[in-house]
Amino acid sequence: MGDEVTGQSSVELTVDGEHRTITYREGSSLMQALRDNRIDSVLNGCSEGVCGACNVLNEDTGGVVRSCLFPADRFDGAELTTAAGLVDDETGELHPVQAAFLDHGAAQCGFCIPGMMVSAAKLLRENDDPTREEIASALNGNICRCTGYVQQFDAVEDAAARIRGETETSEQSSAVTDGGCPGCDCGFGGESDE
Amino acid sequence: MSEQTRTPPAESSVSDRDERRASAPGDVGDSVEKVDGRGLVTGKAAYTDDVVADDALAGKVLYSPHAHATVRDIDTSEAASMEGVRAVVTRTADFPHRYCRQGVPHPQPAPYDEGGNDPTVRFVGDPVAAVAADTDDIAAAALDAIEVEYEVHDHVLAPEEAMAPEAPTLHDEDEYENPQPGCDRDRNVVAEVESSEGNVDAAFAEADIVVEGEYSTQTVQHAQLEPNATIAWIDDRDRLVLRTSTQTPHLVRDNVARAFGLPRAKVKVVKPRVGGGFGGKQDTLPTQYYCAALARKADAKVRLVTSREEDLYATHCRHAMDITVKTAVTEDGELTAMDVDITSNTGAYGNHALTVLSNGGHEPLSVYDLENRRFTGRAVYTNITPAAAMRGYGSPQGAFAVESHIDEVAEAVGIPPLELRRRNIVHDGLKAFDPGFSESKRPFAAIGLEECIDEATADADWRDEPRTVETEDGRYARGFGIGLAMHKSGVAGDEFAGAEITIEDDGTATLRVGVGDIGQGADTTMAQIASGVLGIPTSDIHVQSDDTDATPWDNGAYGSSTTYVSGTAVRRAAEEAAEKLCDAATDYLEDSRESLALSEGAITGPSGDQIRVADLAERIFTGIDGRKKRIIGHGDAAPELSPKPFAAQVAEVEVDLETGDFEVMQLVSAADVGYAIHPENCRGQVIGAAVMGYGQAVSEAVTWDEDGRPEVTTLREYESPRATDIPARTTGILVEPYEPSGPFGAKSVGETCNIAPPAAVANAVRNACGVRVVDLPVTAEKIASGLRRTE
Repeated sequence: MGDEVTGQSSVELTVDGEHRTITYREGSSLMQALRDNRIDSVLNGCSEGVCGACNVLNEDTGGVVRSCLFPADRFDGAELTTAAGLVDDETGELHPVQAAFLDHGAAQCGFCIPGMMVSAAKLLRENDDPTREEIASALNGNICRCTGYVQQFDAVEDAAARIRGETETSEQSSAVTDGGCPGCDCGFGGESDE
Repeated sequence: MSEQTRTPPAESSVSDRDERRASAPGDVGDSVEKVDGRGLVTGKAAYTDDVVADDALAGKVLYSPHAHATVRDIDTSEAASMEGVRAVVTRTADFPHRYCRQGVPHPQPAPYDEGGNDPTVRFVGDPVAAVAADTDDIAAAALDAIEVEYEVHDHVLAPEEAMAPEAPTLHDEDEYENPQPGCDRDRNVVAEVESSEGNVDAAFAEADIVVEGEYSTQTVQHAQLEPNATIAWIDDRDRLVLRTSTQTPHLVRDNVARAFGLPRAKVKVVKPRVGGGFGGKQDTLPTQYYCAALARKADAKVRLVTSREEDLYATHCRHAMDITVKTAVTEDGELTAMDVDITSNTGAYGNHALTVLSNGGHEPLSVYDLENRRFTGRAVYTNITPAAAMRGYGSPQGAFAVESHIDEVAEAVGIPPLELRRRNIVHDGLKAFDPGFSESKRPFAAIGLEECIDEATADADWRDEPRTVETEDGRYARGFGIGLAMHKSGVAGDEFAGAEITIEDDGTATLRVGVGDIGQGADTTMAQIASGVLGIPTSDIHVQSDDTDATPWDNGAYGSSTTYVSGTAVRRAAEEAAEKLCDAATDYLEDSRESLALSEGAITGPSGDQIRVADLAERIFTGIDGRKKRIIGHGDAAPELSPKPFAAQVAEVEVDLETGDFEVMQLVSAADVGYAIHPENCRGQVIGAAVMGYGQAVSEAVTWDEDGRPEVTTLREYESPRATDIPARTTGILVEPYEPSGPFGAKSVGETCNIAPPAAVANAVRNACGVRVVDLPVTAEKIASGLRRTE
């Protein structure tokens, strides 16, 4: 609730598994409130709900929230996951899609990546064998200006295979170190299907 | 420098990737995990605005609402007296020194046409004043309270009107410094260039066939995802410190110091993680100057982060160009002369006016073996956002014209476009058509252009003839098109990079280099190059590249210079450290000093006798066996060469012959990178650049209304490609002819594939349906109107 004297509001949130009291300037977006509380895995690329850099997962609804578009007030009691929260607390192990992004060179400047991780993780929760089109569609709300998306598609496909328990063949993993591309139709290092 | 100018041995022209990888110690040639990768995927990477600055004042800038006006009076008294306002600065009182924002070393090849307390504003978005206040709200209210009295002038938005006799003069200030060649301020011409080889006029007079064409390119914007951000303060030793999102920390330091008349040692720039630049963060931005001015005046920390809207219209954009191309060709398809003329819209200030213009003509003309070639052009001031560096640096514009035009020449002589190109492209031993100020002192050697054409056309399954496949009902037609590109590996003769590497007492290493990672993977590549010399893993090398106090001078991350130039400095620093390690190792090994080699974390002699680098480092550091030693290697690079990376890019389109709607089915890019130190990073650069070029080809544009007000103020309106927009088959192929002067054979990769997609798409459309779109972007409306004309 807002405090008329100080112009401050606060909500109780669970962010990345941790209970937090988030205090913010009245009227702030969820993005601004999170960033004002040093939750910097939520990035601001546009403030207009277009780029996806501020995406967070709302665990109560299972949906992706463009946190720059919604007032923080609406999220009292919510449980949110950011890219930081996709890492296994116990082991420090990366989420499969985070690991796959590293293996496929799918992160360049990185500014879109936390939001991209959130979108990809949501897709993979719902669909562990997405088609290329489904991957593109899931990432469509995340503008990346660096990569041209192709390696990101490769990475999400690879992460899905890992989640399904289909480990890479040795040929594929060596293809990665050779700079080739494991089993995709990228025309680089491997055979094209077309 | 001697090895930089040596003619390469012939056997170097053939690459055997497996052999090279096997023979190089360390991680060169491997797609290792990026040294900063984990932070990127977990959200821990700290960009400028992610570093705690709770004590920072809020900085905000007041921009001119007029395209061209003189500030007659600025009343800041009310704003300054508001509670919580700590400083107010204005363009007419707080910037006494002239300066040039261009992000290349002083003296820049550009006029110093800013600062000097200049009262004239020249575009909607030119800063007029700025405030620093306790909160954003107070800062915004203070801006509202500033009263500015403008005398509004006529304005000009296009070069043709700007050069007309009745046009207003944009830069009539007495203090105008460093005018560029051909400068004619009365006509708003910043610079005019003419350069030629052979006898162009005679070649045209004798030509079998002459083909002419006119083309134009639109203004686009970098739209990097991280908006520009600066936090500035005065430190405890009275130094001005800027933490800022930049490609060129050392140049920002230099430019800011000059603008405020400060000794260089009194300014420090810290570059944290940078969320993309693409040339937009090469120059020192107005927000960086204004944030510094506020911090100095308030004697406090100030945070100034641009909104996306500000970023789109008040920072920088790409030059729009009008280009004419004229070609003389024999009946059997030999190009005998080309003549290119460019008029470039440089916007309100002359940063990069001359150099982008020059590049726009010289590079596309370097792709072909031409005895006779001429380039003329002029860069013109107008009342729009200053154009500056952007990926490709003039080449995307010039190549759109030249590569579109080559297809028209092919049509005129009845030779398929691929065949015509194969007959006329440059080969080893020829020289590039370089501008005089950055001539690469060596003929072409080991260039992979033909291989790029072979690889790209094979990958796209385009055989060596034009084809049009119409669907059964005759409504849809498909076609292929190609565009060729050449770029550079740094600005020959203008680059300087230094590097320093310390072997720590546990055998790990700290590498200090003044060029930063802006997303292109520089920190990883620099570590890999050191790893390749020292034979220790990349993951054991910490790269310090973010602080002008802690790193040697480097021009910065622009001009596709990082791997070739800074990488050479790193290689030399690592070689010096390796020499010292081997010297120290002789106390412990039986084998001769000359026979020792570094690999897999050890120094080994032919007898198999070895000592681990970690053990050696610890022993000499503690002085356990004698005098203490610290192993530090230094290296620098100022190459006179700029080996040229090439690319061939093929597009396949399907056109709806009824509506003009079209879809790009394929975009295949093959890039000659010399040698890929990190193949996956290289591939990402190739595809990323190609998709950015594809955006310029089909959707991106920044426009202004007739009053000079920006019409595109949101990312939604800007329409850069999204994940579902890219061609269904978008591929990247690396061609590796090995460049002997580069670190481990590398050239550059960052910009080359941004150049030719517009021409490839336009040529594919022409091939599919006969319509030639000569002005970017290619749209369904333009195709439909062309189809109606041909009916």
